[in-house]
Amino acid sequence: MKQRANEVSLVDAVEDLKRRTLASLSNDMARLVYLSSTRDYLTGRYYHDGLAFRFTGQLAEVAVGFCHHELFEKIVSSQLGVLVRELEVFIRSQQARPREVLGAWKKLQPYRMLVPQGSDWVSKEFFFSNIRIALAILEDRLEKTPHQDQQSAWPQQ
Amino acid sequence: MTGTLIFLALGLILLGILLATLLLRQQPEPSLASESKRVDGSQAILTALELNLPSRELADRIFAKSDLDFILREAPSLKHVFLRERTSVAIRWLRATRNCTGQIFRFYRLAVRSSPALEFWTELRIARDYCEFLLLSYSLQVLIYLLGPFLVRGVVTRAFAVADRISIGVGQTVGAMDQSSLMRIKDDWAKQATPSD
Repeated sequence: MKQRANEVSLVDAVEDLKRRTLASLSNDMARLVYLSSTRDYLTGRYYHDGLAFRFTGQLAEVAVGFCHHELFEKIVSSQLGVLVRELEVFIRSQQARPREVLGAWKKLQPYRMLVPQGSDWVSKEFFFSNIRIALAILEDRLEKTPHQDQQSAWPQQ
Repeated sequence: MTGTLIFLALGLILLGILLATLLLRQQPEPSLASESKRVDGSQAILTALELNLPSRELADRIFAKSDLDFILREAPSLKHVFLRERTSVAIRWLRATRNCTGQIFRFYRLAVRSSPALEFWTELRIARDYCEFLLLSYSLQVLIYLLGPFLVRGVVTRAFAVADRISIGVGQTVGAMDQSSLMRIKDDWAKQATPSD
């Protein structure tokens, strides 16, 4: 009975997270960045105060981890064209200039922090590889139209 | 010297025949994921032992020609970079699949070693399947290096089918064992997996 109640609570927590927080973000790439940012890099544990307040800290952690895994799987299984579009929209929504963001992503590889714990290493490598390709495509587009390297002025394809 | 050349030529001819057969048999973008649906039942025991083959859905994406088409359409100048990246991932995926299938086979050998209900034909079938899988996976590795990952889908599908057969065979044999034997085998497997210093 108690286990059933926990399952229901988890479903509620996941729904709550998706409805209240994730739905307000621009796209899946932004959601992935957000979810991985709720993780403590030292311990790998997720913290979400709002969700912990409405449910419990433990339930909030499981719910965020579940959504992180689910979203990562979705992005990994999406076509390259979809990933390029996701990344483009995400970079365009940032305050910095696209070229600056692209340079930082290529050099510092922050996308390596977007992978949820427990993912198999082939999925990780595939994700990293696709991100590298997507960055190269976006850079290629930017080079073709250098005057459009402005915030919110990415060349439209 | 002449003997070596003859063997080399024979090897190349056999590889060519294998390649031609498998490439001609390949269907337009068959879903590799659908291959795995049949093995769910017998896979449960292997899942419990953490002996899962890498995801077929992932393979579906890695070997999907639609991504190459996208590159050729959107950024043809990046074709070589893309092919290099995808070949690298395909090879990693193949190695992971081979490692896992090898583990399943080793677990199977450990399990049947002490089993009183040894069935000769089942043993032979699984051993034959494993040899076929190894042959296919090493051929696939060569073909991926030579042709890239997008022309070898037929061979990939075939290799999966064989890996599935091995999973089913091992899952069924181990699943039919009594609980106490299974617990003992699990312990032995765990000891093998983490050898003491």
